[in-house]
Amino acid sequence: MKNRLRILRAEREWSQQELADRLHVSRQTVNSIENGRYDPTLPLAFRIARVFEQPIETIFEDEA
Amino acid sequence: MSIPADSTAIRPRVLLKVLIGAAIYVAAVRFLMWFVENHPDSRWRIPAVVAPIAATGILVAAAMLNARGMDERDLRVHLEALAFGFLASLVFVTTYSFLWLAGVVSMQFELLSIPMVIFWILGLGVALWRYR
Repeated sequence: MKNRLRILRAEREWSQQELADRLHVSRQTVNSIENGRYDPTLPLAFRIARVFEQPIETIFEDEA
Repeated sequence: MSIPADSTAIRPRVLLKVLIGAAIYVAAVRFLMWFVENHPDSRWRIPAVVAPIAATGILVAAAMLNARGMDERDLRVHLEALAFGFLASLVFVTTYSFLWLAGVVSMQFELLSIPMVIFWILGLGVALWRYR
């Protein structure tokens, strides 16, 4: 699954650690999601959407 | 393959504690086996035999408490590591048992925990690399 996490984070000038703290996950988890190596669960995807104040479908894109 | 220092999936200090604990456990079990074999009439025989079970229980409780503090990616990493560790251990124990039945190796039950820990660490390394 593709995502715009890195772009949205860069727009806000947040570090991976800052975003991780807001999402209550480890920095490594943010890194894995940004690299597309880990797809977050629905609850975490909703938390990401709330943090960036955007609908989920504008952040995550299904590759299928 | 490098293990991220800030991941909650594995902290080098925790891994070191696990390895030291495993070494102490094996040494203690070997001592208890020596004690049981050489003191067949001792009243401490049965407590000595069941003592490792208590240690294993503490290990399980510590692992479960540690897992509760992990985030979802790290739980996934450990799930895959444990799945690999369990299945690889199953293959190892089955093979070892057949070799024992054939008289190729001698059975040393207390040493079976060592390959289990090694397979878990291998699985952990692979899962951490996959979700790096």
